[in-house]
Amino acid sequence: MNTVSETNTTRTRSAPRPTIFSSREQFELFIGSVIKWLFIAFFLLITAFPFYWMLAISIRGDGDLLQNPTRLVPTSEQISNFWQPYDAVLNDFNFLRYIRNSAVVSIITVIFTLLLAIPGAYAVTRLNFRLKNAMSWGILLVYMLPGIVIGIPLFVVYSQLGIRGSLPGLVVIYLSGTLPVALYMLRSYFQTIPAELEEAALIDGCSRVSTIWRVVLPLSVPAVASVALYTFMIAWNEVLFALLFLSDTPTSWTLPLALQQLDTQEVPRTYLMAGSVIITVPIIVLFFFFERFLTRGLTAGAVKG
Amino acid sequence: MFLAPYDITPTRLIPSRPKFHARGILMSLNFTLIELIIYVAVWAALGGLPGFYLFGAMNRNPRSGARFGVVVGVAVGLGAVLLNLITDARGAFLLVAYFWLAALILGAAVSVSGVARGTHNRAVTLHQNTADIAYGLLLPTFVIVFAIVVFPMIWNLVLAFRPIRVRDLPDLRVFSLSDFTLENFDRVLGLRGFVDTLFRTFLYTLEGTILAILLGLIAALIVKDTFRGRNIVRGFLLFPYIAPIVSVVLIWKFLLNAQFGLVNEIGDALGFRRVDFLNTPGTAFTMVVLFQAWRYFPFAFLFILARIQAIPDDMYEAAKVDGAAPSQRLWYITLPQLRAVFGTLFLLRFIWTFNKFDDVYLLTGGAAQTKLITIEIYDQLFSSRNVGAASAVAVILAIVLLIMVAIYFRWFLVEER
Repeated sequence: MNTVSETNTTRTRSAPRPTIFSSREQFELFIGSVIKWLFIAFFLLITAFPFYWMLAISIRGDGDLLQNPTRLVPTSEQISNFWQPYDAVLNDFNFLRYIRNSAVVSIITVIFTLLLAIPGAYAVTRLNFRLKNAMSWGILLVYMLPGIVIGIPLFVVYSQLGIRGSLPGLVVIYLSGTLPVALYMLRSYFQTIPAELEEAALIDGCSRVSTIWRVVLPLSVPAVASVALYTFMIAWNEVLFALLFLSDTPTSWTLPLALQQLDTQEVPRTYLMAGSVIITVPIIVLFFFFERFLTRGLTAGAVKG
Repeated sequence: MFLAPYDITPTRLIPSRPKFHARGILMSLNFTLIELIIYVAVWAALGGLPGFYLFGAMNRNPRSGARFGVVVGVAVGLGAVLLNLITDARGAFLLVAYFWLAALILGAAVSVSGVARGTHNRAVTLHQNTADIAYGLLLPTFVIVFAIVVFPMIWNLVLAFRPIRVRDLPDLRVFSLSDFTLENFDRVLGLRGFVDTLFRTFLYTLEGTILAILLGLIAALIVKDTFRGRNIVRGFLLFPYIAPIVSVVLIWKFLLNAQFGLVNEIGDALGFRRVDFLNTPGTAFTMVVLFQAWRYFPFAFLFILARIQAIPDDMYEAAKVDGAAPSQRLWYITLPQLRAVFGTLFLLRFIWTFNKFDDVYLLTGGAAQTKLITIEIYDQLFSSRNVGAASAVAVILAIVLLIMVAIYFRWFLVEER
């Protein structure tokens, strides 16, 4: 702390002396809060506005978009007809099917991730075995691997097996990506649960599996919820493997892939934005319901103290 | 945006027939050594896995169960080849399904009737018993990750040295090691602008990473103290990160559009020339970097905020008593406390950005001098239809990344004290 007081005396800024601000502290607090609110405005502009814009364009026609590019608020007529582009996207462009595909893929990915990652994370946290450290390092390593690199051999093998356009094949790939993330998040949460609780259950005659079911799981609802959400988001948003494997089987397109494929000159811009809204809304809604869990889960274990 | 395969008629795409070709992986006794090894290993795993669990369920030693299962699995696999049972992919899947079903029924029958019920592994130590449970809990995860991530990663190295085109895929012997060649690397390194691509990827990664961390730091600093509406602001700050990549890319494209983009309209009103941001060399690269920073600053923000909130209040109070102004408290307390987080974040974000494909591909498709290594891989695979060359680029990507991470660990790592 010594250095702090020294610098305070040696490095004085030409702060305006007492007319309005009684001290440098006050002056800086004032400036600081001005800067802070400016930045809050800036961040709201860059984070919230683009999503508002997406919503606004989605209900305005293409002609209106080209004629009045700067119209910020849709007219009341446009608002009352807001369903028209959505209807077109859902029915004329098969989005109902893509929604179903995406929902099925994401939900199955979530279920299997939880089924496999909860016992796995428990094993890595609580049980001693020779390969424990290797496993923990392996999890981290898999985190770092580039998706497109493993995409090539998988493309080759999937093509040969004839399962390249199939959704179950895609789910397995998603699992390989979500499992390490889930293991890592759950492990850091399990470490915060006192081992005595489980030992008590074990002494009372629970098996390991029922210990996980009866003791560990009820205690880690927040972590499990955040893993479920995070996994869902990964699967729901994923576009690389969908693009690599599904692009020539339109019946099994997922939502993001469908939207990517629609992004051509012929498709009305409005419809593209309507499609974007359809993809984004479930994620935003889930996020607001579970924000508390999610923010905690995302940083779990990665920051000490 | 078009997808490469669509410039030809869809029927002539990469042939992905639902059935095995007669000269495919498994058919006939015409195995090469490496094919045989992999085939046997797969069947060993297919048998060993249920063996492990069944013996565990029967209160016997799971390891001997795994050994038993390996023998049975290999026997079934080889038998299937000898009897010519596997003719196509469907046949292979069916055989595996029947095999596992049989194992399940047999195991269930045995354990219900109690015939082969063991006496809880008297010969086994507690230590080994614990380890067995752990392996039992982890095995499925391990198998999936190994099959989908680790093994392909290794196999990619082999593919990089083989002359494989997409059109060869149906008849390709995937696990052959006989046709090694260096022509892929020759071709890739001779590509015009390949070195530029490498350098551009590095620049993109570095700039994107630093900008994202900087934005994340500012965001964390403004929401660290409570104010009215803080929770809402914090929620909005995460939007760019959680929203689906496809939709945020579309929003950016719309905002930056040359005809009706809001950015150009505002620029127009202020007297600037209209710019087609995503199709002009120079601005396109800037936009791609800005997009990277915009999309991933929330990630940095979360980490930094968590760390800031963990700084003990007494440090600030002590500094205040000593007369440190707010700016000094920021500079001499908060920032030094964040050093380790910056280090971790930089490493994570650097690696992830370097490996990133979809962001830039969706934004520009690699046009207007924004081609990155990952996009080169995709182009080799889908435009040039050259699997070997794509693998070669992937290998180069991995090597460059490894070198950079090694440099980071050697010279730049900031340890948490």
